[in-house]
Amino acid sequence: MSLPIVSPTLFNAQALPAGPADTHLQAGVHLRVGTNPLLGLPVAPFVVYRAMAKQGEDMKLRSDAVFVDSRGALAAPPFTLSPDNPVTAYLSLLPGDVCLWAQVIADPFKGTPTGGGGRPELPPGRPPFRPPFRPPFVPGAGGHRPGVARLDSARLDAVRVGASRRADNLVAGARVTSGIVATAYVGTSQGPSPIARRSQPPYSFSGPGIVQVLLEGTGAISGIQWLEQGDIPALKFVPWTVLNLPHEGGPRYLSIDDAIARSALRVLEQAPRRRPLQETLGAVAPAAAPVEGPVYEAKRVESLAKPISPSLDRLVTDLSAPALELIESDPIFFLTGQQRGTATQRCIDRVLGEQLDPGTAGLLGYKGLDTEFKSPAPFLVFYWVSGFFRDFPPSTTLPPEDPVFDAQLALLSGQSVVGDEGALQVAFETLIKGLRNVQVNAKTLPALEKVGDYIGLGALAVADLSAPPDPMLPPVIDAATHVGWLPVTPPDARREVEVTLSGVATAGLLAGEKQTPDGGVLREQLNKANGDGFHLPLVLGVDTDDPTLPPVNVPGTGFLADRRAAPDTIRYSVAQQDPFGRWSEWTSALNLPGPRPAPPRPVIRGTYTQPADPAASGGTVRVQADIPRLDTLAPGAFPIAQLEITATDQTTLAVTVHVASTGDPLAPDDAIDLTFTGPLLAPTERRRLTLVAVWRDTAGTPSAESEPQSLRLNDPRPPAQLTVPDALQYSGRPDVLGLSMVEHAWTPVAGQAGFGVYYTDENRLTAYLAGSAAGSAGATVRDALAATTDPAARATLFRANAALFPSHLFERLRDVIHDTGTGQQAFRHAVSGSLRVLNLYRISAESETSARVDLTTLPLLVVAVPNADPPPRPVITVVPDDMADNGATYSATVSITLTAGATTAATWRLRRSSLGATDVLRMPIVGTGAMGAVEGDGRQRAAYQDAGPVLIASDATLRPWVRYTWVAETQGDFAPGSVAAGRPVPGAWSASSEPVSVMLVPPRIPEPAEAVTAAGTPVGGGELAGVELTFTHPRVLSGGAAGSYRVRVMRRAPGGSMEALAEVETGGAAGPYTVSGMRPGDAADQVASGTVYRLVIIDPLGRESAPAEGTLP
Amino acid sequence: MTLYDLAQDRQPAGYRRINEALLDPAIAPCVPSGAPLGGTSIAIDADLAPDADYDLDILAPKAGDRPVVLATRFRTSHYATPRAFVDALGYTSPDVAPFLPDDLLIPDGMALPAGGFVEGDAALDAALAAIDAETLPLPTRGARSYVAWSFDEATGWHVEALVVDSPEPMRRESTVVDAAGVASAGVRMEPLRATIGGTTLDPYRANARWTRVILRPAAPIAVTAPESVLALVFSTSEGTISGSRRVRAVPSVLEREGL
Repeated sequence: MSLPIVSPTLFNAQALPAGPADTHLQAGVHLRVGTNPLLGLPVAPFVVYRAMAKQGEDMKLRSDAVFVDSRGALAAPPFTLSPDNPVTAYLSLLPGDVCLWAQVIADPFKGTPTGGGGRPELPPGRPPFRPPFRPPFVPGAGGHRPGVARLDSARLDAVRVGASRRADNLVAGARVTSGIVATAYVGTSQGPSPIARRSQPPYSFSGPGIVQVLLEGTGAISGIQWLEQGDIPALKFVPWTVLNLPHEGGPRYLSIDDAIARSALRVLEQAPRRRPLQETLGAVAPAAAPVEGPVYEAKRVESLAKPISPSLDRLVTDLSAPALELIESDPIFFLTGQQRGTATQRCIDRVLGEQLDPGTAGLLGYKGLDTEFKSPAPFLVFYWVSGFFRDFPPSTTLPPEDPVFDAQLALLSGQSVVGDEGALQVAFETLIKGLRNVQVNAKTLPALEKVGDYIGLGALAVADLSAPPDPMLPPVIDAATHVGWLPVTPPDARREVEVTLSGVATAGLLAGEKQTPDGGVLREQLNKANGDGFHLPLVLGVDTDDPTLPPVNVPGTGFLADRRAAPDTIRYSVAQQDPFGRWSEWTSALNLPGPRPAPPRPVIRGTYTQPADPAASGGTVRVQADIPRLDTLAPGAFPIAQLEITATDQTTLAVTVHVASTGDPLAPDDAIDLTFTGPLLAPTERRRLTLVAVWRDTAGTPSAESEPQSLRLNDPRPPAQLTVPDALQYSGRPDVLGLSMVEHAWTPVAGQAGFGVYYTDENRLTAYLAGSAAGSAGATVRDALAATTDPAARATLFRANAALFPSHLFERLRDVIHDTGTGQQAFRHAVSGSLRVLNLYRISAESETSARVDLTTLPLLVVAVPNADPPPRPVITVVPDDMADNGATYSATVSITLTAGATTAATWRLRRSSLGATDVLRMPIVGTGAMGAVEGDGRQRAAYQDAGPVLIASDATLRPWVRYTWVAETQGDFAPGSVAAGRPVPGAWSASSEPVSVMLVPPRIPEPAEAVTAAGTPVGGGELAGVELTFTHPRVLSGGAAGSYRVRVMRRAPGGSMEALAEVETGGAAGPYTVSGMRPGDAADQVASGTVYRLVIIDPLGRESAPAEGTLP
Repeated sequence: MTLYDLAQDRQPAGYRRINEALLDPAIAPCVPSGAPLGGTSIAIDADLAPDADYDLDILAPKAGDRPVVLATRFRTSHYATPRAFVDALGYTSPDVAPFLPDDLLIPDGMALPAGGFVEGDAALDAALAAIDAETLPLPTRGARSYVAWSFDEATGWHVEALVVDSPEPMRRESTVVDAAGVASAGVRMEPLRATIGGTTLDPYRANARWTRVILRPAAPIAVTAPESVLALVFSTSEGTISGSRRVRAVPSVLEREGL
């Protein structure tokens, strides 16, 4: 009697009928057993019972299901399936229900269904079909965190580990336009996963825990019928076989006799008819794979199982730790051979991982073959598998177990509880009682571990002989992606390529190979070869521990990682194998060459050396850079071939490129040391040369540009020097504060960035020359200087011998240069206004780099202060000139005399004023003239006849009776050399002479009055009163400072005598003049008509004119 | 004697750059105490005699040591204030000074060179030479002002310029202490302009020491009224001040001499 059937997530079995058409499988029913890894290894061989039934007979089938189309609408059978609207039949499963077999009752419409051999074609623009919802599903292996469907390999159902991937692509997303394609799904922790498909009636499926069937194509759907494992028909199960571990037993495994031989025999019986595709090369089609016999498979399985043999033995015999906590350690080594550490793996994981391969699964007793049903037949064959395990106590070292797993163990019925080792032995022996030649291995029986937690579990599998699943479809290569370069020293290059796959079958294995380059001759398996040359099956990889990656929530999706990929184009080919050993065709994809890393950014050092002859060539630019060693290059990088330096002249923007080889790229030099000639610079020119460099590898790929390096290129030559006037210069006239400003301006030219003004005076230079040896040039100049007092001559001597005076005789003046604002530079240097010696300057034009010439080569700017003494104060005499008469022009002759002094007078200036000489500057200037030469008596003389005109009034005249004051000043000659220099500096004026005052007097007595008329007011009786006399005079009767003109008035009445009436002042302005003809003080005075009046003009000196008469009418 | 922080524009250039950076709140917001570098300026109130030479010695005594920080010699002005100085130049305020300026007759055919203001003795001498006045005597006995006249047969007399001679510099730079006690370099006083009637004469030439300044109108001025007012305006650290004197429509010498 078999053990109670339990949840498939604890213990399950699946059967696959294989016909003679399969390329690899032996004909018959292949049985796969799966256990939850938390159960560990079975403690006794699996015992399989078998029963047969015709479809539909003697079975309690259910038909309750919900049909939902792709648009979310319910479809109640019967209905018509259309290509554009797939329908999913969701089985109405109650909690704890497990569907083992299901059949959709459908009638496909005409045409040949798609999907028999290839993948349905995806319609353009149509999104992949997804079931509208998923029914409640309790994951059997649990363990994933809420909301994150992340795989945990340690907790997956052993059968489904690594294979519950993106299954939708296996069947969905393509439109089936003819016939019906049905795909059955089982529940997994990642959701429904396809387990098989049928493209021809009957649309029957068997599997542990079918949850839904997807229907695509066109046809009439009448309904569905399915078998829940609790509705096991009343069949007669008879013992069929045992599936044992290849171990003779120990404390933790109750084995049977001939266990190893039985395992080996199973391998031979199930040996594929052709070589597994991972053992082929060249993307060999399954049907074209080399035919192999059982011996080959036996060797292959033996080779694969060899590494796990110690782990299996320890799991059976080692009681040092709980079975699930036994650990195997392997050393990890550096490339140098030094041990890096150890890698540990649980023994149970090693063993269970190995049973994924169908061959080793047969060896380990996880796969069997029933050869009694080699041809399709309308039968259902039921396999009832019983297995014994331990209900392990909680581990003290491992993380807490899956609570779902624990709950399912807790839900086991009492019939599953076996008890201690004795009960185990009894239960096992009871089960195998009907099997011939199966005996408990009595040798190891006594050592059986004595615990009381043995349990017995049952699993049921159904094989529908009338409906073998369609052949395997190849997986889909979604992408072949370059991940990165692996640390290999260039020029070698190795990279990692990730081949992303979908549509991998549940618990499927993969064979992969690559062709490098695409179309080339080099083909390599992706499956790793072991020491015997057999290749290990590939399991779809998923990222489980990297939180940065999206969680894996699509069954059948994952990747293959190739960490030995060449840098070239690679064609990857992948085929898949289901847990029973069926192979799909190959699928392939191309991976383009990996993007090579660019060379590193260069670090350059640039220097500039000035040329020996800057007029002939530019300077030398030197660029140095350390060449990166090969082992410092980025993995995957090409070796560096050269350094390219781009030099940009920032002035002309001219660009030059200079290339320096690294030598042998595979054995490069240590450093680049490149020199080239820089641009030819003009005198004093400064430029910037920007250097930017890139490495260029052997493939021509440039690196990022180096940090720009800016070189300053300075021409060493000084700028053109100033030309200074080759003549004695004069400073400004001393100001009232006693200072004289030496000023000199010039217009800078290109290259003259700055100037230095160096100063010395004549005394210092002559003192320097004083020590000159006789006969030397210095002595000659010294003697010549001593021989002359003329500053212009001395200046000429200094200028002509400027080279004699070294730099130390000069001091550099600070803060004397200023910008005039008119584009000129100028310096101003204050010297004493009384300085009589020469001031000597050198002006050095300097470049931006302060390059200047030797000061001794510079010309001298010689400056004197215009402070020569004025001539001596002159003495003047003024002598009125003789006049013919009073009407002649008045004039005076001014004689200017001085005794010649240190400064000879060159010019006189005469001033005259009628107001005195209190302020000489306010006296009008009469005129200027040249002084005479020094006469024999040591005097200079000059004379001037002053007739009245002054500069401000050229028509002015001298008037009589006015006291004029004259002063004279004399002026020295122009400063020596100033006229020749083009800027005459007039000499200073002397102090004014003592003033001389002269009053001009008419030379003759006054002329008599003219036109004398008398007029009065008649008072009767021939008498007149108020008589006035009017007369004119040829002169203006103005006496000026000497007094007034007077008129003596006399009258003689008719018949009377002459009577003197009065002398009255008159004049002051031009006539006619009027005086009274009445007797002063006599109010009663009356004048008789006919009275004769006589007038005499008296000048201020008392000189009287001749009388003039007039008669009163 | 009062101590102040040294004004930034009096500090060495290096100190100034550092202080400016540290006082920039965007750069160094954590220096609340102000500029860390600089120095001290000292304001001294003392009665000084005019036209006197003084020695100013700044000592930093420490115990018996008396190192000299600074020793300088200066001469005081003859004038206590800019106002007194302007008055002494012959320009009074508010009353118009009664004295006429002297006359400087520009010979026929001569004229001042064109151009704007130039400071410098050479330029000044050249300008005076251009009007035959290069040998104008120094104002050794007091300030003088000359009105430079030109004569045109058709239009009569025109004022071409005003030459102001001073026994002391008319432009003076000094450290000015403001009301808050902050000392800074500034201009104590300088000639700003002159006016005749409503016409302005701007500085045209000045020697380096600013003892002689020529002011010039944009165009020669024909003084129409028999008498007008010649004003001289100075800019000082306390604002502008001005003074004025009489000026006739023709050179005064003509009237004075009866020419």
